Amino acid sequence: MTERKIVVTGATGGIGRRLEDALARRGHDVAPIGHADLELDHDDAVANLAPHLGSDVVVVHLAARHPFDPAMTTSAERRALLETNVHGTMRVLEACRDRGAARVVFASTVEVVGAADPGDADAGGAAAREVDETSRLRPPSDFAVTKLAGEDHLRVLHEEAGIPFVALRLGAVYGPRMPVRAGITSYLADAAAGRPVSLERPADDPVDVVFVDDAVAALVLAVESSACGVLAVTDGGRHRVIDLARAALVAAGGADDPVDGPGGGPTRRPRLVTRIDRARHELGYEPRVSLAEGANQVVAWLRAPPHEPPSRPRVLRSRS
Amino acid sequence: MTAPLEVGASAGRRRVVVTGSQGFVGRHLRAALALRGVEVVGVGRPASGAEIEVDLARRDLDVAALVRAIGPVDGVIDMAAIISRGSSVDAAARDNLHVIATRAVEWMEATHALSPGAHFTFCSSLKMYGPAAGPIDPEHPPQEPDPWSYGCAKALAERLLDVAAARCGATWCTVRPTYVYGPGQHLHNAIPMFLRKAWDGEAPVVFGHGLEVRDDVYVPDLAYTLAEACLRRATGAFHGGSGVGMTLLEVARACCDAVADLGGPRVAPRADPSRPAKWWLDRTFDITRSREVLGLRPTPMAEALRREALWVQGGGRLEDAIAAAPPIPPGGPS
Repeated sequence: MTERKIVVTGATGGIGRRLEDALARRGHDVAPIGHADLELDHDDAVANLAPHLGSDVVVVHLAARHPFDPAMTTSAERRALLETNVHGTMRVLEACRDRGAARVVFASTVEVVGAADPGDADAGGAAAREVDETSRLRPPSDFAVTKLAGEDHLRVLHEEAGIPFVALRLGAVYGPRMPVRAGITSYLADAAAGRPVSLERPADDPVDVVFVDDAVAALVLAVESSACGVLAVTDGGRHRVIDLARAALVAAGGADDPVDGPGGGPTRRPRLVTRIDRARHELGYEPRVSLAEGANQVVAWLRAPPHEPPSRPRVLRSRS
Repeated sequence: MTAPLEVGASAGRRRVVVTGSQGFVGRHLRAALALRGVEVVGVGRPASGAEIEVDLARRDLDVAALVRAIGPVDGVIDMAAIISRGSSVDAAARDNLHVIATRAVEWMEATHALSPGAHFTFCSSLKMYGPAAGPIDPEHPPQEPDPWSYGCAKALAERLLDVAAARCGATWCTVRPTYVYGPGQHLHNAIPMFLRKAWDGEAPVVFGHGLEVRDDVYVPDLAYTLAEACLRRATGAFHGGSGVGMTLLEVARACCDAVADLGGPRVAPRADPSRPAKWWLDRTFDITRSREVLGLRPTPMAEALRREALWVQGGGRLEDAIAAAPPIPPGGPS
């Protein structure tokens, strides 16, 4: 395994910090770039990023605006999502085009598939339909739309400058230190604190998750591989929303059942299952942390007294 | 029984906003809408001569305020675009995205808020489609757009519109034009160049082997498709194409035939494989929905090319474009 120079945007995020550690442990030379270092919403980002790039540098682009609940985005939030997730990604790619990059690894989302073909949906619980990287795409939220646009522009950069890319379509990432958003991270936070767990979506909605260590493992594999394309990364499970909520309650030792929230009711989605064969074959990815185990880890961390060392200052280290 | 309320109607006229009204297709769309008795509120660049002149690339533009200033309408046909060839991920490409995608969804939402009965037609592009073989069904398109900025912007626009329409309940459709030709187009495009060469008695030259298959749509047919999609309040996806796939060499040959049929020189095209082909898209487009839902009956290419050949020979002036290629009425060609 060759030691590589790697730039990680979004390095201060839940995934970013763990990824930086994982890459550094494997002997790579990592330049972490956090929110304060790179204003993706402005064209200055191109010039600010450029000095850290070069044809031998791998860029891992994690920085993004991720709403608390993608299903509830307002028009104003959409403008911000477009600016950061699409224009901001294009700025990163422009810097790569100008200064060179060995490859780009991008965090996308399984949500780009969305409702796919509602025409042949059977929400009544018939045999699950499998989706993979070739499935028809119908992103159901502005957030997912912006992530898909990110994927499209990776292809543009590849076409123009020959820079290979891997876009990982991640399930909802959960784990210790992950920010709380609608979905599994909320269920875990509520369950651990003894609060009622309420579902913001229909209980039978299919949903993909991945424990943060597995997401990081997939990102490391993507950095080190020569694969090029789009790959779905989940924990390999076939979960519904209700399964996540129950796992949270079990991990927390709660006796109650999850309750339907404002978004609850019967599911309108077909029972989709995301296959991860391509990530397995092309990256050697293998999920290791089950939903039950992951939920246990998160609850344990949430209930443990705070004892973390102060976070390291994040600076753009100049390359000599 | 009272007649249904016609939103935006003044003295019974329907009112439609057309963005990009001053361009090649815009000119013909105006003619098609005028033929249908529709009042057109055109939106174009500063100094373009549109009823509303505005720089849609301005980041601080308040589309909702603009929509309120325009007042109630029955429909919007959104064709505004910057087509900066060669831009990929840079600032020019980001401007592309802003005008084509961000603005589209803002127009739709603001119009729906003011005129809940209004219809939104998005003028997309065949560049929505990246590499794909065989005939394309607009309802089951290839998933990856053409890997350049313009196609990505159109794909982004359609997806944003899909999400926004589901949220606000707007009625909308997308029309994806293929390669558009006809009087009023840039004279350095392929078809006018072939026609010009033929009139001059020279063999038109096709770069590459000339065997790539393409769909060329005559501009009054595209204008028909857009106008009917709007006024019939269509939903879903349509191809603004002819439904006929021809190789580039066949298109060049058809141009030569048009000129010869008009009494001009008889020449034949040739391919120049030493020059790289400009097109690498190679597919045909299913127009069944356009026929069935919109009543489209595409003009035969031979007739269309004769009209354009006359226009080219007459000087290729923009002001002659509509007379050379008149709009097609709602019932189809007379």
